[in-house]
Amino acid sequence: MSEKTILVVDDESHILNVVSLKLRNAGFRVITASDGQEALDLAGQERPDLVITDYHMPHLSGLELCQRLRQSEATSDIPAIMLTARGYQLEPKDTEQSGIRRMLSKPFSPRNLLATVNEVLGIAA
Amino acid sequence: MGRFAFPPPVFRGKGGTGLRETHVRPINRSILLATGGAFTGAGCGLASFVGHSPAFPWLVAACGLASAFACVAAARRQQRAFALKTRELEIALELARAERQAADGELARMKNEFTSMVSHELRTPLASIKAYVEMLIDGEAPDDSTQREFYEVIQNEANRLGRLIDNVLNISRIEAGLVRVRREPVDPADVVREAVDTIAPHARQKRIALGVHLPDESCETLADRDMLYQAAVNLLSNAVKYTPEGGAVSVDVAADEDRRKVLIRIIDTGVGIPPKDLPFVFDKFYRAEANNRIAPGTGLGLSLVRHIVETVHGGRVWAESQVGKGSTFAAELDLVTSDSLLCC
Repeated sequence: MSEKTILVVDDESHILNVVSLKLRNAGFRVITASDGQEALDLAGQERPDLVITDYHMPHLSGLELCQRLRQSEATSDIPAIMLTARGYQLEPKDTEQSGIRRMLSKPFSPRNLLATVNEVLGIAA
Repeated sequence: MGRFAFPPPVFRGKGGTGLRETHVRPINRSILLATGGAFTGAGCGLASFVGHSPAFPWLVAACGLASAFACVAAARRQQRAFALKTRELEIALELARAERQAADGELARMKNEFTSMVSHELRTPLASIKAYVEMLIDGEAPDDSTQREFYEVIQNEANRLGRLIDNVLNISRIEAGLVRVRREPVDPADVVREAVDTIAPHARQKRIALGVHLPDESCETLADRDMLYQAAVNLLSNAVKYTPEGGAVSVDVAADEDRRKVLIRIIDTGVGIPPKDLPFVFDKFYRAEANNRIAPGTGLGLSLVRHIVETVHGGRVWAESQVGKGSTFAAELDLVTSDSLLCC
């Protein structure tokens, strides 16, 4: 399997670090951003295979990030996994239209997150 | 009485009775008066006619009837005026009801927002704790130094969770007057030093320079040490929270010239607070809208600071700020002087 690249976006550096380590240990290439704008720029340059983003972030929320990725041709087919600490339930139309394939609520288990990543990327565990 | 179908729907109950007494009775009186006038006039006319006096009785009867009509017309005018007044009151009541509903709605919205924010604030450190513990259990921390780093993250995040719980509990206790204040001579510089140690890991994480300027000579204030520490931690953690990476936060403690008061100032190079929000930053649950997008919060931290400094210790807190440049939060407390020792 060719090495897949995952973009992880969270303004909480602890979460960014732990998710990155879990995914690197599982053999993924990981790039990180600490806010939505940085993530947009990075996604345009690197065209990752998957985006994992927090919902509540400064300047640009996770949902807005996913919507913006959809609008740009270069990044419109990148699937996303959303992490949220507020127990938000997004409307199905919002998630479908923004390419959000799964929602995980914080606290989350890194093991479950990895399983979800594999599922979304179609990788057999 | 069909026209006086009172009370109208909005006045049923006590208010309706009052209106009936004050407004309906005069109208009934004027109708009675008019009818009385008409009968008197007609009676006089009839009596005079019977007495064979040709011109005078008709004049008296006409006057009686005219006064009767005038009285009825006056009563009608009064009725119309009253109906108008009733409508005005109805509208005023409707408006008051709508305002109350809006206020209830606003309170419900604030409560919802608060629950959601507390939930977010509790879940965030808990998320780190659970994730790092699981990583340690699964042996995903490759070396000793990473493991150590993980333990420190767990410890710091558990402390952060503890502080939030303390904030929520203490604010309810102070408001309910249930808090036990243990006053003792405290050096504010010691408390500030301790608070700086608590917040230092968060500042390091955001590469924020944390400067501390303490007075050369020690001073003492009569205070509850734990509460003062909590106020200092809240002010410092706010400063770090709203200062972008690479910024600076400094803490100044200084006694005034005659050593009667101590001023603690926390100065940041953060995002600042818009002037319209500045007067309300110490209010419970208040969150500056612009800053809500920068960092989440419960709107409790600064409210607790004000309670601790002003309600419990009789001091003073205030804030100054310039958007884009930074904010200064200041707390002033009385120092223990030779006079105050004599008083005690």
